[in-house]
Amino acid sequence: MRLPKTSRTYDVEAEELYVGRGDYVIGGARSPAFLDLDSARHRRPVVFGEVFDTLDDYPRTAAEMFSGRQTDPEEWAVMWKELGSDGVCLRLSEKADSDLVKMIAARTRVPLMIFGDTEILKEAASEIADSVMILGSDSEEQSLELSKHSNNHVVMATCAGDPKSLCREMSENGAKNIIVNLGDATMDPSFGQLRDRIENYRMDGLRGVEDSRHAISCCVSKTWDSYGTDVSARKASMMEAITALGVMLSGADLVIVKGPGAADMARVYGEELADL
Amino acid sequence: MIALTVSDAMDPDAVCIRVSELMKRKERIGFPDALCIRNDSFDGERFEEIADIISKIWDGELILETDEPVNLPKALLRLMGRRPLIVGANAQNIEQFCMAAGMFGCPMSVSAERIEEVLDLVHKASESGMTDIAIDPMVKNMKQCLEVCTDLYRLSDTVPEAKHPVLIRAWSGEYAMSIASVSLLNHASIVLVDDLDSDCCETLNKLVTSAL
Repeated sequence: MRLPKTSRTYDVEAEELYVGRGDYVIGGARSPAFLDLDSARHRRPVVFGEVFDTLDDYPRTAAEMFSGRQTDPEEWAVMWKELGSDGVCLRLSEKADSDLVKMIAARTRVPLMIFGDTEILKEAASEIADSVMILGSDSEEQSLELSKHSNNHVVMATCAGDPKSLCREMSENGAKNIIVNLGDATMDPSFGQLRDRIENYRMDGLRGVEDSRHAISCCVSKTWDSYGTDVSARKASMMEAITALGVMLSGADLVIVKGPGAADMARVYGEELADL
Repeated sequence: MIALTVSDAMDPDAVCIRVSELMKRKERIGFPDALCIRNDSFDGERFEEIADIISKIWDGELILETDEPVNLPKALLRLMGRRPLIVGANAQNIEQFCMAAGMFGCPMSVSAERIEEVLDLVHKASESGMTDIAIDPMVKNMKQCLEVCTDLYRLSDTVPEAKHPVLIRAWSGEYAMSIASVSLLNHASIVLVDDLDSDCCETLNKLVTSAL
């Protein structure tokens, strides 16, 4: 049977972001995720491991996976590097200061993403010049505010609706590099909608729609919250890894994970799908 | 639909234990949807015996898988009214499979490694009067699964033979869970798994109920 060609080409490529000391590249998709049928770029999504400066409300089962090093954020970040994580997602409490960010950046030398109080993030952005960080945000307001003080760092555009106008405003505010966050992934009926949002944003970008070419970040660590406190690490890690797989297949370029098991699985999935 | 396999090479008592364990799992987490009775023994009588045992204790969907079409009719007789999906047809045996499926009014799948070949087999089966046909593109890994499922999905817009449901095999263990996930997220309808433990079934169930 002679079959019609099904491969497709796209007008433009997604934007690439250089983070860390310029040695990590995120994004740059030129097809739907991983699809060699459409001449995919053979690059896997990057995986960032979460580090907190306080263990309040942190799941006990997840904490046990870090052999006690989770009690010191610097050690915890180093452990992520030893585990082969591409970067560290540092979640700072209100009591934190930018010195911790500087210490972790210097010691791990992997790209950092930081979440926390706007003032702390602004301070870190102004003080760290030898490594490009991702300034995480929890709201549109924070994204806009951080854009004014981003230095050369990447700013996260977090929004529940269409991110295009937010990205435009952020650029006007001074953000030179933007990564889009279309929502956190959890295994409930919102997961299908999130996958659609990621996929639609990526396809808009490939078709050349303005302000749709940015790289996409997605946090999958909240899958741990869907279990009670007595969940086995294996079960929670599998759920987190499959959630990561789901968002990577939709087009996420960066995934944030809680557990080392899921980080490892997500990296292996990415390598196989990207044919590396 | 996700199906777990029960081999007819197992002792009948062991089959009963496995099926009752899977029934409890289905009751608890809603998985698996179906059981696949696989003719690993290549023995027609054994296949019939195990099909008979399973039909009496499992009330969900059923699949019969064999490489020997001659072993099908007796097993199918034991599953009258259950309309199992028949798996195992390929370029060498498609006529016999079509005959058995047609005689018992059952759906069937056709398997080949290349998309052109598998769609040729769909065409042949359609010409024999079959309408309920599943496509098994015999993928070997996650990457191939993504590419082939996407290709078939796109072809289904213009090629009538590609409009049928896609069946993906995913062996066992955590890698099977990943292939099953890629399949289900990329338009496959039936996933045939050798074995999955309870945690993997629960994870897949959550994925199916959340993402699809």
